[in-house]
Amino acid sequence: MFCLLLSVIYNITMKKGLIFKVRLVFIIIWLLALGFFLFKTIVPNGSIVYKTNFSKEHRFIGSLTPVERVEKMDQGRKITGDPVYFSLYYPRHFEEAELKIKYKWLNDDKQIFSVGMLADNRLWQYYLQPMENTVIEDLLSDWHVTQENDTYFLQKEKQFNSQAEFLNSDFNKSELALYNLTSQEIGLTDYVLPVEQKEQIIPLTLETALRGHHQFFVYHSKGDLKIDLRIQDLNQNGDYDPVDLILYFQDKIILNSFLEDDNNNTDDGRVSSIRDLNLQASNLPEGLYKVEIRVNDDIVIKELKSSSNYLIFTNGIRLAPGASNVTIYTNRDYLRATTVNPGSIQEVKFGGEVLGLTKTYRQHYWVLEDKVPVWNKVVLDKTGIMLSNDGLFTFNQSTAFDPEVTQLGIETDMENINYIIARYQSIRREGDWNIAQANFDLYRAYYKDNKYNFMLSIPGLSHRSEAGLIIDSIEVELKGKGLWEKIKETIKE
Amino acid sequence: MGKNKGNYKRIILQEGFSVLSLALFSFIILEWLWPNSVLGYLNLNLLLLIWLAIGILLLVMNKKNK
Repeated sequence: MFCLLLSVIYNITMKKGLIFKVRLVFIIIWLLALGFFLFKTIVPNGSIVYKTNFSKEHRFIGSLTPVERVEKMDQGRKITGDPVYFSLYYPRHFEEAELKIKYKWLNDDKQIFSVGMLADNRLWQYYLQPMENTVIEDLLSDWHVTQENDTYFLQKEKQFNSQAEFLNSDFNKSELALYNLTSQEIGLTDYVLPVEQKEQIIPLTLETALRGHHQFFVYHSKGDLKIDLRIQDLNQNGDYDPVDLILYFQDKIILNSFLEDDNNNTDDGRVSSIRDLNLQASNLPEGLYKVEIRVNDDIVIKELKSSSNYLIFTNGIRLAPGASNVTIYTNRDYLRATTVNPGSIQEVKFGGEVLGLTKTYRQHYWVLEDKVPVWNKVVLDKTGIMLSNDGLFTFNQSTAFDPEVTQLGIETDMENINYIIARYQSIRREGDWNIAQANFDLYRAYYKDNKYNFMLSIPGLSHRSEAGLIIDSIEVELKGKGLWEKIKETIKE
Repeated sequence: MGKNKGNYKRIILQEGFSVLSLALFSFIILEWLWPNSVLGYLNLNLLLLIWLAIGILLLVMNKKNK
């Protein structure tokens, strides 16, 4: 049939003159080009791949920024600082992105390399997925390994036949480390505070002012669970500054309280009056609750009141300027400190060491030489500093508690760890190069002007001189519904 | 023979110019409707230069013929 049609067209064409023939050829080329562009825009099969090796500007995968952390190489780009960002332009909406990066390490043997997708533009929150964890990569060949779906269970000495058998046993939590998993995800939801500590639970008032987004665990035993905030809007950026106070139980939102912006969306610096935001829940079961204060950096939490003094901040704490002689405790032996406030430059006492916070807008990274598994004291003469690590922070050592299973990081002391459960995809090797991949659910992504934003995270890379990550290429496959599926869906509706 | 050859050239250039004009217009519309749909794969500046070169060549040829 097709051949017949072709022969008819051929016969008609042959009878026509030169002008017609030439015109026909050009029109066919034009239509083919138009069809190609439309195909690449509509993506009727539901999947498209973009790949860059940085040899020339790519119209879909943006360049790596900031330029201060990226060096041009003959082959690829060398990343010397953390983090590094790039954007991805998409022609239409997709559901999933599969990111593949070909890279190699330079003068570095212990690293955690993750890729994050911007999920919340206001709070600058990235949804992180692991690319390579060199600690796990090494242990995969040294320890006993069992794999179930995308989860690895590693044992220093083989004691259990499976992860399920291990979790059902009476294991010691301090011997376990998790990676890319939370305690809840492996079913460890039953944290109980020792009885003698439970008896000491009293209400807490924290008068040291905090700035911006924070989250903390609070142990609730009886009565009502109450969180009261006194907040102030600095109006130093022109964004909308609402306050969302969210209560989680076993990783699920159970209650929230919301406070609108102070009706000043400008950056005029006019500080708002102090306003109150409360959250109260009755008849809650005893246990560990997580509270998130979801705000941007314009909001200062002048006072925090809680019905329980067993309250512990996770991942970091940002102290607003104005207070002096503040003591904080963290259960990690490393600390990142940053200040944007010239008046906050000082000597910080961390553990038994005195360390210099010497520059503004620069992340200082300190690791204690004497590693002891206790709460390390951080003494600050002045506030106006952001402190962070992957551990916990408290203002009172006597009510400090650690409900979390250790998260495996490059600074984790492996001596006491005998078991690791990790949601992880092992890297592939191609000669000198490593190939790692991560999948992202694009429904969670923030997008603007048809662009998604990604971040390459290599914690601590900036602090290791001569170290770097050489990226040969970045490949992104976008997957979604095909044209035929969309048509079928529309007809069904 | 030489005259015929010149005539073929002129026909090809004339037809090429017409279709290229149409192509440029359609590609610009496509790029305006869906940014990056064309520029992601084709440098329109190059196409514009080719179109301009053919146009100038046609003008020169027409002037010579007159």
